[in-house]
Amino acid sequence: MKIAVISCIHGNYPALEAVLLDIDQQKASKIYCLGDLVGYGPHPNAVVEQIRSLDIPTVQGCWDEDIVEGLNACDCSYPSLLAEKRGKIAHEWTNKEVHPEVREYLAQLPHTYKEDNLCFVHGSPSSNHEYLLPEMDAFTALERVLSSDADVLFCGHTHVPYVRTLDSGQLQVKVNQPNKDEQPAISFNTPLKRIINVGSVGEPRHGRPNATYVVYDTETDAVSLREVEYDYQKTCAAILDAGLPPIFAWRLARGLEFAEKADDPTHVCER
Amino acid sequence: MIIAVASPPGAGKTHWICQQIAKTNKPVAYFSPKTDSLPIDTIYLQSEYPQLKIYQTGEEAALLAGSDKAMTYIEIPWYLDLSGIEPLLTRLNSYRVAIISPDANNTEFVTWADEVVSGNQITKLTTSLQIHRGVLKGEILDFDSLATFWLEMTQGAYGEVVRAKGMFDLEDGQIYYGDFMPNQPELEFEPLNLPRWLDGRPTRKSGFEIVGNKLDQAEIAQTIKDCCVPESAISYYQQQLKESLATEPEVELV
Repeated sequence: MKIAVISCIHGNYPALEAVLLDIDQQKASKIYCLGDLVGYGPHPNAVVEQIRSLDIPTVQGCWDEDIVEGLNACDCSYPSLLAEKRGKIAHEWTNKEVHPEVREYLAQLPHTYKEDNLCFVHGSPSSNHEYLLPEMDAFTALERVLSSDADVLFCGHTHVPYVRTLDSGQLQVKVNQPNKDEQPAISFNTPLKRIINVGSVGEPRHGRPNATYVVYDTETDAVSLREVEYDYQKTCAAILDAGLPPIFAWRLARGLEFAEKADDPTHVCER
Repeated sequence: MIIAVASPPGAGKTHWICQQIAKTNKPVAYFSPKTDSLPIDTIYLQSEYPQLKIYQTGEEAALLAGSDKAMTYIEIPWYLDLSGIEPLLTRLNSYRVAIISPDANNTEFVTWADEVVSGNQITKLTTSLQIHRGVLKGEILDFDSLATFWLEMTQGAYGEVVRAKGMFDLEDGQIYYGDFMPNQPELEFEPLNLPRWLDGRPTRKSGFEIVGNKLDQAEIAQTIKDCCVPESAISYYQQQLKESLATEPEVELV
């Protein structure tokens, strides 16, 4: 069965529409969404209404969480003071704009969603603020997948798509405690695991404005990273019309994302 | 000897002067008229060559008196009218060097110069150039924010830019120099060879100069403001830095 996994729509309705059309053409049987439906973009309500109307299983992203709980993340949410200032403007605008039923919908979204051997998260199984970057050390990456009790972990949050295969290997764990006899080492084999980052529909960060998402075949394990062109100028115009900072439109048109990733990829938010 | 150097913006006056200073082991002096409020090139050269003698506006007589002991360079900003500065250059009996660009209209500089040197290729604009100078007053910026602003600015987010340079005090106490010219390899921000400032807001000069077309000055000013470390965090950062510098292990080269 072919499934489509989307993430990080960020209130960009024209991008979502184009991706849904492409998913239809790819003949995917089911769609999953990894959160960040809102934030930065000018159409938060329309995006949430569309996701709801299609009954797409969705997990909560960090931006969705912030709209529900308020901005109470630790410093990791923003990589710079400038990103923080801009992020707060986007948060305040979105917070004023979202309808009560949209907020209620975002509030009830789970942090993780599991189906068979697949797990869907926004950032990582530990936190929807954590970045699973492709260069993260293999041991930590493996720990994150193992903690999800799945074979394939789908994530978003970084806005850059990638597929990482963690080959099966042998791990040996030995705990040394003071004043105790040497403990025996425990060995176990790890099965093959995969992390699939599906990129971003509405706020790409790969240097082009095109939306990205993933089509995954559950029978063959084949992964297809899709890049979809859409009328980003429409979103840029809507950003300006909404009174959001013009720099958001400028960055969107260049695939630069609105803010950058956190410096420390292994940092887990202490909220 | 006094050498006056002029060029269109970005053709490479400071770079050429740097090359001349590096070539000599004799005393060298430098003066850049009408740049006292934001002497970016002066401070850059001074950090590269601490022995450089600097003259400021009003010290022209001293400059003339000292010119028999030191090779003296006068860097003429591109926005100064050459005919306006002519009386001073005549009084100083200066030799004139024009750095010209293959793409610019160089007629005025070629006519003016005793010697013509080939410089950088620069962007040709059909409209007149505008300059935006931002003089900072003790502001300390966050490095990642500055990097974001600089990338946006040089890629045209705030208008077309043909030349930009700046010096910024950052939270590590160092002052960083940035320099941008289209068609030239991008330079990383680098700390100048000047002492760290770890006691409150710096009183030394810093700021930026952007040359281009249709520059959104209000948006540039607001973005720079958004890059600044808040007052409440400055002493905290400085205290942390002082402690970490005090405990940094000494490295002995064997």
